[in-house]
Amino acid sequence: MILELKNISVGYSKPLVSSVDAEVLEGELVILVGKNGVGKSTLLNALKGIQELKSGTVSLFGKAIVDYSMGELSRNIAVVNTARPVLNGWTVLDVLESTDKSTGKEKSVITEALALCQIEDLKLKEVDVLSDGEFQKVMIARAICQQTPLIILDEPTSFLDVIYREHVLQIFSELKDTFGTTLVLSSHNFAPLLKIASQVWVISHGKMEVMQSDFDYDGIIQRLK
Amino acid sequence: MVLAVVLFYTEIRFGSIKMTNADFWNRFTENDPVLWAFRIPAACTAALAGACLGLSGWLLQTLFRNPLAGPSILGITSGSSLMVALVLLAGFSFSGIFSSLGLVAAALIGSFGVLALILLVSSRVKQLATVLIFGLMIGYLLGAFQSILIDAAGKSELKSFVSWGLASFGNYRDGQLWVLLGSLVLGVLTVLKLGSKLDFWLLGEDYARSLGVNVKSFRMALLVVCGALAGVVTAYCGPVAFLGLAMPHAVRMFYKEPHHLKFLTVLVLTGACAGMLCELITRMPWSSSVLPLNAVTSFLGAPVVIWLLVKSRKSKIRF
Repeated sequence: MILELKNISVGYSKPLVSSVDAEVLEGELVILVGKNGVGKSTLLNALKGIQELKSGTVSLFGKAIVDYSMGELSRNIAVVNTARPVLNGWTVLDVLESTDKSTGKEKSVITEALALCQIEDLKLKEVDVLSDGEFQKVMIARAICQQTPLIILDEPTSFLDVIYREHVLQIFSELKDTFGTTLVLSSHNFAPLLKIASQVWVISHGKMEVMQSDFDYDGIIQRLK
Repeated sequence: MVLAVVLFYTEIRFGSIKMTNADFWNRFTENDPVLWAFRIPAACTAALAGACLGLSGWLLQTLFRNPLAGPSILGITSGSSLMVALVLLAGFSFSGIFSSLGLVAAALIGSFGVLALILLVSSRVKQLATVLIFGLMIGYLLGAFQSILIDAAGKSELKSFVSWGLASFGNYRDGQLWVLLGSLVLGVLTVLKLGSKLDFWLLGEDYARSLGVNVKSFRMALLVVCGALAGVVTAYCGPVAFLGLAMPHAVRMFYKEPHHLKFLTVLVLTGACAGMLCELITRMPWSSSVLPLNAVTSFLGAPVVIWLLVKSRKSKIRF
């Protein structure tokens, strides 16, 4: 088991989501869904170890996440989020090289990530001129270069058009099937992701429901309301 | 780059108010006249101050992830300025190492004070542009205080303050070079220590954290270093405008390198060259009068910033 959430609640002055229990196995893909503002990003931050829990414990490989040092966390969890930083003069390659050296990254990892995300032709382009869709793929490739067992993605498909989204889907299924990477991601456009998902976590009314199989889109929508 | 430094150095030595022949020059190096008491300290100060300001501006731009950040924009210089004004206008004497260090202490208190305020605001306000505007406003506020002080001050103190306020690399005080050198070394060591964490920081706080950057101590380290660099320079040379803000962009015009570790050397060297160039222009070797340093730095710096704004429209840089 890679991740274990035991009776956790997250939030700020008031808890947003409480008494959450869930388990994630290696190589699973978990989709987190919920309306805007229900606490998806906050819960993801708790899994990244950068959000204090109001109660309960998050364990990574059986060890409480609060007991990990920053360096250890960076070797276990890579993240992708929606922010688009200003990277004056950076090329795509510069971004992919921005991973912790201690993970022992090699040139071959970068080549592999470029190929997997089909962005070899962008390699030497400056990131500031990329489209949002291209940029999102670069950030996914960067997370792959970090070579962690777990990748946590906040809305990775939000800027993507249909074709891009289809392609990102391919990347995800290859990552989990070929590399055994575990993926936890939040998404509003989750319909196409359902066919490769192992679990769907639905947040509504301050609670989280874990769905293990037989995801039907309409059922999830009903729960969200 | 090293060549450029050597070149600038000799240029400074040649540049003179009084006529000196090349033959005289050699003798002058061995004895201790005008050259050792004025020109060489001024050139060293200019080089060190230029490097310090460039480093401070560059690190602030990284810290705030904003290409328009700089010690003078964020009000840091104004903070030091006000404190120095308090010291000078209260009539403390100029000479001796004690007053020199006292001046530095005052300037540092000012710069750290403003930085602490900015840090407080930036932890509450997520929008970095707002933080910049806040810094600007602080600058104006402190400027207002300063003008009240000036209004109330006596004539002799006023003159010393006004000439300090125009900024100059030429007023040498005891221990000045060592303090400047010390803060430059502190800045360089910090960059070397943080290394690629500075690159990670540019990706955003979330990514930086996920790459093992301790956000709180990282921020604190950069703020302390930037405050020290800008404060020390302000104490000795006055509120120098634009050099800190413009220097990183000037370097990027000919050296595009996103990695902080590689950028460092070129930035420090170019900063030193720019400082000496400005100093050379203020002394106008061809004439006998002296230009105020801030006039020169503004003439050279403002176009760089304008160019930056025009260019950033084209290439999708967001603030």
